[in-house]
Amino acid sequence: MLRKLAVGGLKNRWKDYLILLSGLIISSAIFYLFETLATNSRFLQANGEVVSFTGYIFNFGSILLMLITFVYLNYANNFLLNMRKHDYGLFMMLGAKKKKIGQLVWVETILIGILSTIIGIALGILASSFVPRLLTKLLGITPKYYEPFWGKAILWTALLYLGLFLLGAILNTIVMVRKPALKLLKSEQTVSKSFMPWYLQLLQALVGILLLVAGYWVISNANVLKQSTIPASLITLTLGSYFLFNASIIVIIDFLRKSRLAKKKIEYFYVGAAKI
Amino acid sequence: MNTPVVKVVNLKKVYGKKNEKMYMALKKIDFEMQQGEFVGIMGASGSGKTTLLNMLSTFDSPTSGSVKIAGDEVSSLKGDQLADFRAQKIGFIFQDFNLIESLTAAENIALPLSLQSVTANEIDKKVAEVAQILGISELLKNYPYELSGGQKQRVACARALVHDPAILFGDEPTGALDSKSARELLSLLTEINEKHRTSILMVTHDPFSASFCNRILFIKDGYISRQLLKDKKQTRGVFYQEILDILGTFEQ
Repeated sequence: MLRKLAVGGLKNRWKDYLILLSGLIISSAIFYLFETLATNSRFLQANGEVVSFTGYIFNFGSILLMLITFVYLNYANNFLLNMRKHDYGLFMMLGAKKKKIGQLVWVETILIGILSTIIGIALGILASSFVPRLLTKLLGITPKYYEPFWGKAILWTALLYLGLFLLGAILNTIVMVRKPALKLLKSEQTVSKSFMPWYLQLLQALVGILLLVAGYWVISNANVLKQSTIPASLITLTLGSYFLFNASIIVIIDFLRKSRLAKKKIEYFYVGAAKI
Repeated sequence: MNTPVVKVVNLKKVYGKKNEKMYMALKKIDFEMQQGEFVGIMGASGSGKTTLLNMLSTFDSPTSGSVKIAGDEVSSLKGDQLADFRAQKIGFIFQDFNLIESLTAAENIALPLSLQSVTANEIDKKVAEVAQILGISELLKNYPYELSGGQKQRVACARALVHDPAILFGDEPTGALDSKSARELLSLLTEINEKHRTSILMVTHDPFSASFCNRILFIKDGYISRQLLKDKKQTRGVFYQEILDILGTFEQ
């Protein structure tokens, strides 16, 4: 029964989950792709300086990707949580013990995690089989020792994603178990507003834009910072995007909701999903 | 004398945290309900009737005062005790049914028992019994989307009764139904109340629904301002008229 409830929840709202899942799959596939390049030292050494420098960049790339994944997973997890609040609230009202609720949340989150990681890695293997051709085309070399099916990359991707999902599952369990049933049940009816005052929002937007400009400037003038170009751009670009996104998302979504598109309900779901 | 099913003494509920604007939803509520009664709570929106129902059904905790359901002090229950209490003593029907779409009617009805880890045999027996009473034995294999509103509410009602609760609570149970289904559900509730001596307490703003009760409490501004008892000899039509009269003077 417990399993049926967890799987039933997934089956029932598969359209919502599809969007969540596809995002996670793509993100883990890209991460895998990066790792096949960054962790294959034999490939990096055997193909001359251009490639080994590329490997250096890819190392930073995977760190950047890890950060993005972390933020994305955070959003995805919130989304998952919000989708299921109502049902969990109902279970509590019907007399489910906290332990049972905890088990349900746990099973669901981990299930999504395992599913998206496995499919993501499979997709990543498929995508990385095109890498040699791409390198030949872009850099004019025939790469040696490149392996689309690379154990280390599989290991790292699985470790990162399952680790993050484990973290998510723990957090979700804590959140669900602590909230009162009535609040969970009625959560769909209450609209979450942005609690950030407008001046903080504006400040965030400005800082975000400033960081983004600085980041791109550093990249396009690589001779200024030389070796530190990549780490510097990494930090500025990530933080910049995050701030700008954080500051503008609510404004944009409110605008979308009021627009004609939203009234036609075409984008209703996407907008709702993004708001979470 | 038997312990009353519901005993509320000096109940008060204030919403709003410190620093925020306080709102007193319930000021002072006292009432008792005996086993086998069918009680309606009426009042305008914002009068506090839903707040009162939430306190009674353990979904919200009072600011002060006492709520006893079947002899248990509700506010002293915590964690697993509270879960067990909900699963054994309370049945609840919502306005919008709240059935789980991915489960069949039978599985929905069985939820309170499954969540309490009752054995499969026992569950099947209880579900069949309660489905018989509510006249939904034919619908047990259907999913909620295959059912009409009235049928859904009967399934929800079966779910609320499957564990033989001490009391059945309803929050505008006919609010989402057309008048024919509403009448059917109310007749069914009356039958359950009379035949099985199930205590029922429902919140409603609809005088027609309320006319099926034996006793009505009118709530206004956080107090019980009036009570109306149905005479045994009185027909439902006459009682309905009486409710309408009271509501008429009540608004002023």
